[in-house]
Amino acid sequence: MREKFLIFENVRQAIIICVVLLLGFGLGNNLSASYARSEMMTGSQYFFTLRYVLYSVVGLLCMLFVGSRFDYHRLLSPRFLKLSGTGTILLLMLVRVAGRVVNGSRRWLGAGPVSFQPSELAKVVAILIAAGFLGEYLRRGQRISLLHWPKAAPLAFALAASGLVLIQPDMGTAAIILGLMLYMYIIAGIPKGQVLSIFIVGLAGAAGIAVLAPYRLNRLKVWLDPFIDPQGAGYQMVQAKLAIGSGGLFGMHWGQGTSKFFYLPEAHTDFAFAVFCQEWGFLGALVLICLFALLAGAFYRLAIRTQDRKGFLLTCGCSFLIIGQSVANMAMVAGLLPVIGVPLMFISYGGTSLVINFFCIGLILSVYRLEAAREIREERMAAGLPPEDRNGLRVVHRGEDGRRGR
Amino acid sequence: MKRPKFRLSDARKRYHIFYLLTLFLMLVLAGRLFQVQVLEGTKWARIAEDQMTNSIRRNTPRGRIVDRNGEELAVSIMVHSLYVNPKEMNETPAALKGKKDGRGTAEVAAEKLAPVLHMDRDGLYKDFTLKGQFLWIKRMLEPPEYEAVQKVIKENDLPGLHFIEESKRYYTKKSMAAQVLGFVGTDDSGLSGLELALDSVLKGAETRQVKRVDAMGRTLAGSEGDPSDTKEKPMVATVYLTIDSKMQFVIEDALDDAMKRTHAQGAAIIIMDPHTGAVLAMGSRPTFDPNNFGQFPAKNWLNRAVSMIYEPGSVFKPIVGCMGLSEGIITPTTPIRDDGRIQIADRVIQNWDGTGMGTVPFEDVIKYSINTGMVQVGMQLGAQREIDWARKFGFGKATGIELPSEEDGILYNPKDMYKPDIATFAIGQGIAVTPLQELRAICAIANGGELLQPYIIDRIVAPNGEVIRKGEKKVVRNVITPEVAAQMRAMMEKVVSEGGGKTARIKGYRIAGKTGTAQKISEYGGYAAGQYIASFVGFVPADKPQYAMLVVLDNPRGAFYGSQVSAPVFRDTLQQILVAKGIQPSNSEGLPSFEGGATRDRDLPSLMPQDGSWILPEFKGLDARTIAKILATGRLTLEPYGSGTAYEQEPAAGTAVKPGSKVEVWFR
Repeated sequence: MREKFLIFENVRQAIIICVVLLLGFGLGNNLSASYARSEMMTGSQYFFTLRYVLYSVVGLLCMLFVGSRFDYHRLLSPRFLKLSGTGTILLLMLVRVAGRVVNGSRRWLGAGPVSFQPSELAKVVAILIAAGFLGEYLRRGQRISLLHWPKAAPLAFALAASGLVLIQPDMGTAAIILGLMLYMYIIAGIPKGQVLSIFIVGLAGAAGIAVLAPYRLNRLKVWLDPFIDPQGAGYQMVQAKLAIGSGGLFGMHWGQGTSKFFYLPEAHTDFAFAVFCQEWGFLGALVLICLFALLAGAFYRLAIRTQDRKGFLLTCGCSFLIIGQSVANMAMVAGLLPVIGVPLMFISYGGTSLVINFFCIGLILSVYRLEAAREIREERMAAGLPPEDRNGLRVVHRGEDGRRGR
Repeated sequence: MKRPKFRLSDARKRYHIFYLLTLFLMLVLAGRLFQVQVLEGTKWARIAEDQMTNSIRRNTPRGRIVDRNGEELAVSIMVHSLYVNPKEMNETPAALKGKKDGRGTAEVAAEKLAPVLHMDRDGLYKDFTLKGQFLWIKRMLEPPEYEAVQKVIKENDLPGLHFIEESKRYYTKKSMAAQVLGFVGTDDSGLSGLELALDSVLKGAETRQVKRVDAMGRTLAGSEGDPSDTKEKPMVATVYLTIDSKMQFVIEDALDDAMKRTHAQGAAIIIMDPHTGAVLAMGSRPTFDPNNFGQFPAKNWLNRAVSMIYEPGSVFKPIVGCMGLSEGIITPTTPIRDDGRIQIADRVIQNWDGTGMGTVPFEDVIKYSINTGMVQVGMQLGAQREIDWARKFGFGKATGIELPSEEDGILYNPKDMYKPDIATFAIGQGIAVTPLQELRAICAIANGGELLQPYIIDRIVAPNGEVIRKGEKKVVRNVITPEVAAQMRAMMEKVVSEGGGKTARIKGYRIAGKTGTAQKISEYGGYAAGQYIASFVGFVPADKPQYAMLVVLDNPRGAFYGSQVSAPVFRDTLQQILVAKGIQPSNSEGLPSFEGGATRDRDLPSLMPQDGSWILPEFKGLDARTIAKILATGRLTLEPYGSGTAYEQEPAAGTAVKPGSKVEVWFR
């Protein structure tokens, strides 16, 4: 766990460096992509950027706290999970009743300048529930199933949450919540037959939707060739393509991009990657993809070396949230996937998702810290030394895992 | 059923698959970006650039058209045109902020601007709320209108309303020489007359201002093409016409008067310098105001002086007379038998009153316009010679003056002419001419035999003073000998002094002329019953002609003989011009008005200022005292040589000289 990872001292250093670099890219891109809209909507060029900085600071503090002083097991106790699961569902219901409507969709809870998106919270709660409940079965070596109660309890939560998100309506996030949960089930060991059924049902469901709701089929057609309706349904895709393509190999340089002048809808949020591609070119985009790949590699190394089952599943889940969503977003912007509303971590603007994102990285760092402590302890034991390391002792004793390990 | 245990290592394997899948997706993504950005990059970049580039075409003011003395006839100034960007007006925060008492900006704007623009409020509102980013509201606002609109926009803080500068044409003298000048359409392109013919010369320099706009059509800061490009407008050339505004004014007045008196369908007058071919005045009726050409029927735009074709009738007789004299068939004294009527094959040709004068010398045939006499000359000439001579006189082919839509006229093929055709040709029938062709042929008689190329552009001057093009006398060919011309001039003078053209007489002046009355050719073939073309052509003074002039009246009501309707127009017009131009009467019967110095003083040449220097006028013909007076106005001194009237000067006319310089003038 603590050994060198590529050129880095260890995985933790790699993760932190990646996060800092991505945050830098994100801040720069946000400044460029949002100022025109910001000025038009608020009169100030920096409205969105200031909020981006604010949320980043909150998120960073959250990450540092969770990553350095916090034992993730405290979030995985059955009592806390039930509480947070119920709370999330209640918040989603509250959105239904008292949420703010933006762009015809009721997604936000808020008062005054502060707003909050419970559906983003639902994603991380789904990871926690899956890691907590399914991790316990994995620890015991028990097979899990989608069809047996109470093994299907996390799935029930995901279904309820994604159902509530679907009617906001926000199909993208609903699909992410459900997909995330199924992904956790697959890793945690549902039988191969069920894995196969998931894919079959998924494909059949997509086909069914396309047939039953012709407008979705039309969307699919537009996705395959946005130029059949460049001013209507295909507009966003066409503009994204123009933005990306016009960046060329080296890009138009930072701030010089043109798509953000209201040509490209959602230029600073879901489609921020297109602005990035226009200004930094193919080489810049390649660097960004490599950073995400490096981060994915670090998460993978960490997960593989983690002995604690719940910690392993937690890392898998957070990795899905951060890497999976980002890849999906980039693929969507590049026209490889239909347009679904998933954020690109650090690059696209979004308050709740940014904080949640940092929180997830904090959880992963927490997994690293505890696993590293375990390693030290085991090494000392192997060497016949008493486990006297103060740091290790204090943390291990406080954690569930520590008690078990004794 | 006992299922195998699922271990951590199994879970790791599954995660491993997802991990590889993610990396694979990243690879695909990179490949896709390579395709879109590197392989197809230029294509998308071009489309992206196109959609945000907005280029506005601007014209610098069109070149001026002025008369021979620099008097402005057509000028252009830059005016503002108003357009709206409905998207900007209705969708920007500025627009939303402006919402007062529940009304949108478009509603407020329509209400406030309707009275200022004199436009319908509901119509404006409709325009303001259309989809799109560009719509003309009103083009070419008058300057006070522009200021009022600007004030309303400022006071009410209305977004989305913008101006573009455009060049607008003003015809300062309204309908004067309207058909000669023509007019321009909204995009500064000449559509008729000289505006059309000289479009490439007059057209303002076109500059394209390329700028970048956002998706709402608003200009992006700093993206506008260098504004100095459009500010420093290169002045385009000025066209000087041979037209003399004063003469033009007189003929326009005469045309209006003639149209009113005779109720003619149309009319044309041309005055030409018989020695150079320069057109001094040219008018056509019905007419129009080129400032608002759209409000007149298209037939009014027609310049009848060059595009109307008609049978000339008796005004053609002097030309046929010249043919006879040149061919040696007749001399002015050749006796001709006139029985009042003459039969050629199956046709009988009569004199206008049907009576004969017995045996008369040929000059009386012209003087009294005797048809039977002319027919005899024509029969001796024969078809081939008639047509050949007509061609020599410039008929059957457009004269090539700089005006558009000039007609060729119609000439018989000599092989197709039967005897009656040969006969009637001699009295100006069976040939179709344009007024300009007719006058040019008469000018050849006036100037001693030179057929000239008529022209109406005196010079085209570039902004730096350089003369790009100079209109000058061009002899197409010598048609008749000076002797023949002199003989015909004498005969034509008698037409006015003793014969059928007495109505054109002006006391004290020797005028040569010829009347003509021809039946109008019907558009359905044959002749139109009861419709005539009455014309009078002539020049003055008869011995050394300075002005040649043609008056054509198309289908006058009531009296229709050329001598009754056209000759008086000729006389009245010419009389005013002679007075205005200070042409001295040839004998003591002069009109007293010429003695008054006031009229003449006004027409004295004067110094034209230019950049602190003076442009010298032509002093030829003036006496030393007058020249000294003119030079004194510019602190210039006269160095006279000889005495009498000036014939030579140094520096030459048109040269710029500094105040205090010496000007040498030779007198004799």
